[in-house]
Amino acid sequence: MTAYGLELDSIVFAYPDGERKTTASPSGDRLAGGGADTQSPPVLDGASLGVAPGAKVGILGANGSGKSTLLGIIAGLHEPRAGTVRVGDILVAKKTLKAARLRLGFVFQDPDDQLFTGSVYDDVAFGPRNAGLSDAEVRERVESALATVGIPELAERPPFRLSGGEKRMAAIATVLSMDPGILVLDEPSAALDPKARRRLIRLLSGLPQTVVIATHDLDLALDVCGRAAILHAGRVEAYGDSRAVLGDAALLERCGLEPPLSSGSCAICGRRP
Amino acid sequence: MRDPSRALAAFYSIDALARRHSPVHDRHPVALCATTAAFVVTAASFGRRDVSALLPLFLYPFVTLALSGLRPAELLGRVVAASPAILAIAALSPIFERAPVRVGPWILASGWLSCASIALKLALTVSAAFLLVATAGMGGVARGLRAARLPKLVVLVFQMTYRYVALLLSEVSGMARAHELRAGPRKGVGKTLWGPMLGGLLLRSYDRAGRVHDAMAMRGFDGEYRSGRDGPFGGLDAAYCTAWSAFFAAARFLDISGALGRAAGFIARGAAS
Repeated sequence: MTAYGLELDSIVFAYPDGERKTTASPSGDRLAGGGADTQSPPVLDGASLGVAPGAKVGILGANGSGKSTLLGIIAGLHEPRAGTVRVGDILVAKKTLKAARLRLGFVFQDPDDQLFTGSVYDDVAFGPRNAGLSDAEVRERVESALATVGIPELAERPPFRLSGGEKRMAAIATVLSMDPGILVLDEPSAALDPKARRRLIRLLSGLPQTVVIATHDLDLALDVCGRAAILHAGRVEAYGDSRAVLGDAALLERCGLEPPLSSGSCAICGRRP
Repeated sequence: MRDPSRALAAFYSIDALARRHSPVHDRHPVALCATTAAFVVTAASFGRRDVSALLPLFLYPFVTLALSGLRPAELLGRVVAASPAILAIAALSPIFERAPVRVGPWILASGWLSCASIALKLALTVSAAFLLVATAGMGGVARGLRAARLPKLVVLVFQMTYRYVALLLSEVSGMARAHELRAGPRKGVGKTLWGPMLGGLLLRSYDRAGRVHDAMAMRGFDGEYRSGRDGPFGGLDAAYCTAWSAFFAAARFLDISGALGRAAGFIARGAAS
């Protein structure tokens, strides 16, 4: 496995139906070009971000700030109006999409979107089989991925019978089995209980891949990610060391976020961590 | 109203059955598909008033059931579920075919023979179809269809339709629960809600299908659904296919029922004298 870097340069994106996904509107009428959606305000308006190979980066922002959209652009699910994405040395475009996706593991916000076959084993094996690996290699990859996420005993279970935490781990296993160099996760801690969340944090912290996480869970970002980027009004408002970014109360307030719980004082003794 | 989540569980239970191992499950899916096709063609080729000649064909579902380790209840449940359709088709025969025929000591309308023949043929083919899906799995069936030179696109549509049913059931399950919890004492869905609910279901399932497709594309899906049962076609597979085909040919062209009847009569007479 080779960890790859990621480079997003001046990304501009608007949904074709003109639906505004952000609450605070940037200058939407600045876009050039024709088409029915020329006037639609962009969700992302010049967002740039560089992620070093092996780094763990949290993408943060209020509801509708464009976090999921940004991840979709990284994965080639959305095509930006302007700007470029590089996965390692590959410039993401229609022709290079397949090669770029081989380096990228994308974990969707809803694990049910990712688990569509009749068993966890088949779901985890789906990627390696598409890569043309032999049955023995597929089995090896599946067993290794399930062991990494700690659910080897669930291999034969139908995904719809799993708990939320188990589904999340299975969804992560489905991309780990493809041995990606970059892992992109959309709201990985959503709907997890504290124990499952702690397990997820341990798992993500120990992965050797480059990890990009879009999340509302600022504490998870603080625990897992060395660096954090805050999206606001279609742009990357701040990007740097997680503790510095998440410790800036004025910045968080301006971007519609609240400080992470772990940075507050103890409700019982009043001490700060 | 039947709980849609139970229907979803029943749907996925077929996948679970196909993941077992047995002398039948371990056969190459192409061998299983070819045997089933030969069986269905044989059953359909009997005359419309053949009843006793069809009886030897029941050996196939009985032996397959025994070798595969499937419970008879699993097969009977499916045949019973299909029985209203089977009986509805068969029951028309006595109405339209009134010519008298002698059956042993009785004289009946010939339509009753047609009715019995149609019911037996449908029960046999429903059993064979279920046994095929429960041993080869839908992936195996698709593999068989591809081996029969059906276009990739047709097979893909078949597989995706199967998966879409699961997705649709899961959406129906969520909507039905949401409706039930707010419907108060009213039973069922009121006529005024049929349109909005069906429209909502279509849009939701369409969106979800799009996300599932994205998840598949992210893991290298290129239009060919690989089920993992792509091993080589071996000697045992050929023997399985040949043995059953020989039996079907014997059942079709030799009067096995008559021979057995005569042999039983001979033995009975010998015992009496």
